[in-house]
Amino acid sequence: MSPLSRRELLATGTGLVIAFNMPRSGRAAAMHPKAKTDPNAFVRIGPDDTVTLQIGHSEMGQGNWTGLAMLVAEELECDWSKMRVEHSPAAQAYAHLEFGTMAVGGSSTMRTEFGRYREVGAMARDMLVRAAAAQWKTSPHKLHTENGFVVHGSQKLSYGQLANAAMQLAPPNSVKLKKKSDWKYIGKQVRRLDTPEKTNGSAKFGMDVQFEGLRTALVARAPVFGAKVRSFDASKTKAVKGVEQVVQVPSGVAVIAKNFWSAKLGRDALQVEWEKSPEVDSEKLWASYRELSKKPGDVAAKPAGDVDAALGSAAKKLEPMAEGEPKGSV
Amino acid sequence: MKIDVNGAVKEVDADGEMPLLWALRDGLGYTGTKFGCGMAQCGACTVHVDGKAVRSCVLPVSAVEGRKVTTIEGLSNDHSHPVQRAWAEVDVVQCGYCQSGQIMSAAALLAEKPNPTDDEIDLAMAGNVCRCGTYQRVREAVRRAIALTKTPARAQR
Repeated sequence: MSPLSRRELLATGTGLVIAFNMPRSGRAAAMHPKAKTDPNAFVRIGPDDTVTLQIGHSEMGQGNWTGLAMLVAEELECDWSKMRVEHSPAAQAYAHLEFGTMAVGGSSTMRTEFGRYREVGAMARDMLVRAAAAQWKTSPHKLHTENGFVVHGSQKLSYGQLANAAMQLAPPNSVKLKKKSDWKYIGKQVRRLDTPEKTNGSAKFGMDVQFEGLRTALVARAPVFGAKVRSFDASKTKAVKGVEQVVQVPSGVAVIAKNFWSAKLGRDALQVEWEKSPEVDSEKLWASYRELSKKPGDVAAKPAGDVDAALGSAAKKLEPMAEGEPKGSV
Repeated sequence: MKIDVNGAVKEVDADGEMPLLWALRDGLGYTGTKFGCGMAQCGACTVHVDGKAVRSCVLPVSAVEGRKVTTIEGLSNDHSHPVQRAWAEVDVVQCGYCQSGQIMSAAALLAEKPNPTDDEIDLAMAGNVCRCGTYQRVREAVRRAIALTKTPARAQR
């Protein structure tokens, strides 16, 4: 792969921006031996100095978008107030380094991405520094970076001013990451980057996705565990304005309508006969639980102390039995 | 029928008994207002009608004819509302799903009572539940918004 083919030129509403498509370095490969594909991360620097990070991990409140951006900002030495994050497209390049697919889970994002995202920032910084050195006709070693600028004595150029020139350069084959003692962002508190969209209504949750021709389906589900549909009468449902189809599905009966409210009214009007499962019966389940409670159980976490010895010498012994059904609905 | 949302009168394809929430979300595309419980128990659907906080999931859209509806999208277009600024300063949000409702409840409170007591804040915010458990920061941000209301607005991220 030639260096040129690793770069992309993107035209967006804000003008030309650069995209760094980061090659997998030997160091990253050593750190992530389970990775199946080349890791790629995209940093876009706009002429307005904004640094936009495309992230493949979903942000569900854990703060991983902010945490990953901190890793990039740490090595890129950019201005945190210019940092932006957005969801990446679906592509193998953004796959979780251990799961091999685009996924999050097990509090693994920061642990698995701690190397790759810092390298992305360091590579972008290296290209910006070399672009500035070429402009000033000096050696990159004489320059340093701070808060979104490349600095040479009293001269400085912003990352936005350098973005187009940096784009012409080949990404470095390897980069040296900062020492822990030099960290400015990692381990410090910064403002969350997902706050703006979550405080003006623009954040898109799954239910907020809308497109032409989209329909809403609500499913009438079994009132008891394990029951199946015996029969259903959808005549009243079909009379509800906006209801388009009523179909049996494995989990019950789905009412498909133009919008949520029509689907809801349609489901309310649906008459379903349910057939209870012969295997799932409350009395049988309780009987089996009572039997199980008399047998020794597995250790849930790790053994500590000697329960039998302690009970053997106890002055008073209780044999509590608690039974109850979970409250609330699922 | 026509409803006045965020300062503009809009035609929405809805029967009068459709809850305002669905007229906003499905009819007009204002998806910032969230569906949580559908029975006025969680506060995720909170919007303003003539400046007062209401649960849009149980309010028939016919009830807002001739009245002014404000959704989270209409609070400010540049994050300049004191409540939005306070939410950013205090880093309130986590998943964010309930926060449109939290913010609308807080904004309605401060519009009515610029200097609420802690008890009044608790009372006004009691109907907005948050599964992430951001309650302490919500209370702190409401108090911060009270202070910010007295200082000039500036757009911020």
